[in-house]
Amino acid sequence: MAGSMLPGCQSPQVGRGSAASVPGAYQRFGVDDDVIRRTLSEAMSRGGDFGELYFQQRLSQSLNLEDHAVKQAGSEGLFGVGVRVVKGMQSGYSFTEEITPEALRRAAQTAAAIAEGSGPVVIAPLAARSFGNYYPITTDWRDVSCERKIPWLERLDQSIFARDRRIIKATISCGTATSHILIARSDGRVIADSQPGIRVFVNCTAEQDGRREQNMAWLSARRGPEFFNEENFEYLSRTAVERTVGLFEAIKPQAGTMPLVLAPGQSGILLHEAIGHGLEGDFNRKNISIFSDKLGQRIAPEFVTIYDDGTQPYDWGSANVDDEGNPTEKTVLVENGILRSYMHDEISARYFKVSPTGNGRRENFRCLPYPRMRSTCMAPGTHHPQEIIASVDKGLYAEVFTNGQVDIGAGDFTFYVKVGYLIEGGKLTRQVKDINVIGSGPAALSNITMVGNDTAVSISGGMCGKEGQSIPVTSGLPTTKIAEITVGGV
Amino acid sequence: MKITDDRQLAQWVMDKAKALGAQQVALGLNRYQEISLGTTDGRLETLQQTSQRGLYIELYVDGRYSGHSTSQLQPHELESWLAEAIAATRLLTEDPDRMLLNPKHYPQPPFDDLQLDDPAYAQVTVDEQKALLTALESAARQTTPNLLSVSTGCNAGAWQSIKLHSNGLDAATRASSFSFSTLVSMQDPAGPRPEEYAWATARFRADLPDPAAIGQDAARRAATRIGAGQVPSGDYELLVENRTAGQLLGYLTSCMTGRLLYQKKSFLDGMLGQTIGSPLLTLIDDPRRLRGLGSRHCDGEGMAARTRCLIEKGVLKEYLLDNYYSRKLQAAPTGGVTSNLIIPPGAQSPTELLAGIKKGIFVTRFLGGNSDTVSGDFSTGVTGFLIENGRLTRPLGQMNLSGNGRTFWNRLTAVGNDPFAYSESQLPTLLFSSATFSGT
Repeated sequence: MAGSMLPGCQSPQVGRGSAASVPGAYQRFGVDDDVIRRTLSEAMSRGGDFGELYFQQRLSQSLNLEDHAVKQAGSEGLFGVGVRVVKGMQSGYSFTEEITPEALRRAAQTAAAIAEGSGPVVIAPLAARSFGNYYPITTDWRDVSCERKIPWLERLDQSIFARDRRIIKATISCGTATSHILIARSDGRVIADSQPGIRVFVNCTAEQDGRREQNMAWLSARRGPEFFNEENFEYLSRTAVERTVGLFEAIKPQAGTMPLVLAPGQSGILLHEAIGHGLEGDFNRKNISIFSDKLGQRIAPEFVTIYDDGTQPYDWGSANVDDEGNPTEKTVLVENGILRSYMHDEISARYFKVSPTGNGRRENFRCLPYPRMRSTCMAPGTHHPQEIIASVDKGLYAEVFTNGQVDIGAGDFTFYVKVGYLIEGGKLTRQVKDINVIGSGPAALSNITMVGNDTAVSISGGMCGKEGQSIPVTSGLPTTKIAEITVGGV
Repeated sequence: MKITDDRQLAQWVMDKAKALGAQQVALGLNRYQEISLGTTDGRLETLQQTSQRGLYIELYVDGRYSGHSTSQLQPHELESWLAEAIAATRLLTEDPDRMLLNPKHYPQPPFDDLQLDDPAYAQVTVDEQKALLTALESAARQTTPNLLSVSTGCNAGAWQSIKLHSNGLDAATRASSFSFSTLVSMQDPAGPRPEEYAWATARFRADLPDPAAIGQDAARRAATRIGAGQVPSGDYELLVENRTAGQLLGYLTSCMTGRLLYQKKSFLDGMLGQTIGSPLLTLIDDPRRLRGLGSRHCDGEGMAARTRCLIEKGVLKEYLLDNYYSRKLQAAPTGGVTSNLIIPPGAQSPTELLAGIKKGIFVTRFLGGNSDTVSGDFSTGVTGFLIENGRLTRPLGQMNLSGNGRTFWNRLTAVGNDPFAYSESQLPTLLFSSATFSGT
């Protein structure tokens, strides 16, 4: 499938300076230095190690196409500020949707209740900072009329039906949003960011000789309306149809444990589930992850390097700054098979006495931040992808995935393969579908035996759930072979 | 005009939307308050006290439809927000099937008291919640002294909502909910740190169990996970724990919706009146259950709540048809959303069911998994125990269950006497004569 190829996953910093300005953000939220200082002081009046205010305005738009026309639209507006006080590993939290001095004061007092007592903390002088510019905004989605989007979606729908007469139904949904955030911390740092996003899902049903199949294709990116280009059009149209009609040939594989080869790109879900969550800093400071106590140890072969990256231009999982006001970065998690780092929020970084890694993320201003992933990828290896497939006598090749889950303590992880192929005698043979794969994270890592030279980052993107909060993420993987894993089947 | 309360605000928004050109309007104005705490190993980790408001509106403008929500409720903000929403709606294609539900389906006053709102919410204090969490943790530690870690959490929430439809619906609801949970981790000498959890949820605080019982349950479950492994792939009898069965049922009920039927993506298409499961499969949707977690007077579209039998002794009796897709299917609406789902309990306890199983797997949790609604195929990770000659003999992990909805429910051979109380669905332990597992 077509995918964006980033050689070596090294991406240049897209632009200097911040995409959003602090003065602009002050105006947006109707605040000034004085209100911010007073609110932070109120929040820290009973003590605490640090505190922060997280202002957010996010306007989202949705369009749904069904039966060849866009007949449903929607929007969601979020506006408010969350106030957090942290003492040690404890967080007090409140939020308000009214940004008035009185409401801010009440929220700050509520959040302060966690600290109980070492006396007021002085707020450092406020100073605006800026980090990175990985998705410069061309146009705020709020200013893009549906007249700009509807013709593209209708044309996409027409091209889908034109490609294959077996297609009987198609639905397309287009979700866009721009989130503007302003973070002010008790250490004086003030930072703003504006984050665009678009997701387009195409879902098709096809019918042949009385049998029906369905499948989907989707794209997610931190882009503005330049997303509506011919490359994305072609990808969605071709991929949705090919995946759907391809299922008429698909069978269920035999159940059991077998070698698994993962196609490049979206298969990075393997990393997200098998090791990603297990390396989140909160689970490790609590000592409950299967990867706790493994820093500095070998957990994978020496040709395996895994990192979590927030700096890939326009990537769905990227962020100029995390939701605690720390700069994003490319964090190497596993280097040549050795576990080097967890993913941290402020609390876990302080606990482990390391620098924050820019992984403190939250769904919106109503939520506490937690260590979360961004774009979790593996660096390329040395094998040719064809060589990897040829090395398998009887196994599975997995290409398209819908979801996964992990028990970070037991280490059991799973992901659902929507489209794959049997590998027989070193060749891709019959298509397979709707199989869940399950394994143990540490075992799967140890069982990586071949890594291809063709890494790709998924352009589909996904949403990751934890603590009841859903956030955008991507992942990437070269063609990769796992010697054995358990596959659901008949 | 000064707006002094939510009802006035809701009416103001309704009037404004109509004045701006909407022929029909549905709106809801909601408030939600919450206190929640979390601890890890005796230390308070999180303390949150929050309150939020929101408005959602559905607009029917010149035959076109859209839906919007916002949390900025100052009248001058709302006025421009409404104007933008109505202008945007005019850019869409007309949809003759979009209209408000026929008011004959709305509930009529007087509305009986479903007992959804516990006044005790107003008396919840942080200190009481802390004591609750302490009780959870100490019970866990007493039950399994060598546990690795205990986390606890509790939550108390209160809702108030007003729902107005321009064709006559006027429904106000108040509701509350209280819950607590605990997660216990163990150190398996082989390396893993398995974790298990237990929880309780109720509309009324007084209906919650003694936290000690929940703490003990989580700790006992966690202790049983040491040494979990796989067994060979093959067919086994399947016993599904009551609090877990919902995921399996969801693979079936998701295919009963009007949207999937219309989009020709449901394997249950054309199966109304047909047998889709064994005679033991009866599924009732009961939104009128007193204090039920899913109880309501009407659904989101205003359809009056009624108790209905969706599946009767294995025969599919009703689809879940919302207003819009029922019109596209040229059928009467039946209510697109389920509430409290009930499989009527049988006579045997889970222990009695277990005793009769020679070679089976007791599934206590699912992990990930998904289904294809068109074919009915599903595949999901499982955690549980091997059953041999009526006993749980070893903990299992990294196993997978696969099946197909067309045939899976035909093999339902027993329903336990133990409906799980702490969820919207009240499902008992279920026994299937055969299911396909992947392992070694």
